[in-house]
Amino acid sequence: MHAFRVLWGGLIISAQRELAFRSDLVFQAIRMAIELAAGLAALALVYSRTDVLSGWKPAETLVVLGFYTVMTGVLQAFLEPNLAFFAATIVQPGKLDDLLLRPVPNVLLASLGTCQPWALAQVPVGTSVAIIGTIRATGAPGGERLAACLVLFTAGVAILWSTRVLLAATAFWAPHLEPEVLYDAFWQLGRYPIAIYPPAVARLLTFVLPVALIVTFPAQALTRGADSFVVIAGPLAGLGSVAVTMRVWQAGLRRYTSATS
Amino acid sequence: MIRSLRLVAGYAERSFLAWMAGRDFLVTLVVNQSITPLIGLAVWSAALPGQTSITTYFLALLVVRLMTVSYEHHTLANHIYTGDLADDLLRPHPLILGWIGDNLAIRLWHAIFALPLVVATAALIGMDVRPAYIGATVPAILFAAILRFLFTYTLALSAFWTERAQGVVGLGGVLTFLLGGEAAPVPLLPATIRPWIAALPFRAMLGFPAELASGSLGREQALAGYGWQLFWTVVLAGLTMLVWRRGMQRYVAVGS
Repeated sequence: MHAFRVLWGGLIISAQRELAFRSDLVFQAIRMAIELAAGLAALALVYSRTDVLSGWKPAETLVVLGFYTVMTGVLQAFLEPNLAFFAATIVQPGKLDDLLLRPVPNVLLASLGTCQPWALAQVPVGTSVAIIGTIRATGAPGGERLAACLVLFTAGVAILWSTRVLLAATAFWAPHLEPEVLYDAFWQLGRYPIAIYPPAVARLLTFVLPVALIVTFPAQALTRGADSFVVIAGPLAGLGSVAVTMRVWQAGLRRYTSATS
Repeated sequence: MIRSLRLVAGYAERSFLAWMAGRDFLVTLVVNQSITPLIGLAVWSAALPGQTSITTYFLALLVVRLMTVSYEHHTLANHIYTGDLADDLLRPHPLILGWIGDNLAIRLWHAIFALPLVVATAALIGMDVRPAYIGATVPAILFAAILRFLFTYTLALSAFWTERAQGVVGLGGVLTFLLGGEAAPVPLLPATIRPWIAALPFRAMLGFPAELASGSLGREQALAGYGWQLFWTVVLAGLTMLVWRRGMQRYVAVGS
């Protein structure tokens, strides 16, 4: 509870800091609106040429775009401000020392200590897109679908946090690598259902960089329902990824020797 | 002119050698730049299966994107914010020459790392490459490279007025994605808006060279496209000079 109070405080301070950059805030808001409009326009253009995209109808793909927008909001609001260029800005200059001395779990502070509140605007916008898509696709979803979606969504958030922290933790072993640029690149693949990609890429996006688990599966649960295996495997994958991340983070900390490490 | 070219070559060589130390990072940049056209390729191949012109278009778009890449919002904007620009201004030549040299160096590195990716993708999808189309495309890529540099450079100059130029440049990037032929090839847009989109600078920066490479343009359309490229090059060059002069009047070194 104490840790969450500290993180809430960080959120408030971050909001105050962001408000100092008012013109940037305006451009970010316009950019976000145009980005969503661009995503919707791209979908409209694709579906003006075909009725079904690799088995996905327009409304179903809209739900995927909605979930992608929500998760992008979470990623950009909480994880990117803390973990972007983690090696160069935190590990190499020894700034992690400061975090390690604070009486809060260091992995939480390192990954969620500050935030970009403006990015959270994508969460309600993405949710609205997902709701509109779902209603168009199947009407109001039943309780079972909603529950499956919520379970997979929660698992998706856990996997999102884990994979991003895991990637940042590579800084303890390879401080000159900046893998987050690759993460950002592959993250964009989640904008569409993974069924459109070649099988090898789809497998990569399910098991290695699980964009499918984070975005496509919750959307699929809402529009088509999820089989029991996925509903059980999703949370297990979420818990497993968190456990692995904590172990790797601790192992990384044992290697950390402050500045120049 | 010769002196300017020598200076650009010198800056390009220096920057090229400096980037050698960051080869790992360059690979990640190349992958990052390649993803959007490859997603377009996957989506449009699924939407219009069997159309080779679509696959050729998106692969050409990948090449154009990599050959016209510009990062001045990270480099120039940071120089303005940190006050490093004050040092640059003491140099006895137009400042833009240094940034052109840096830009050419990073594009060369992108070309070196992207070549295997492009060849592999072309082989994988069985791309239809015709020398005549390639010949017509090269000048368009050169124009696109100039245009995209001027566009990013001008947007990066917003650092004179804003606290962070990333937002402005990001906005430009989204518009380029939507209207430049990345979200959808301009010839596939609805006929009512197509002429308007074709006349904007975004298509001249990305989509037009790719359309030429895929052979989807007739002679008149190609000439019109080159006309728009020339027009936007003149407009953006003038705009760049204007914004630079206004920015200089405002700039008072670090802490400004």
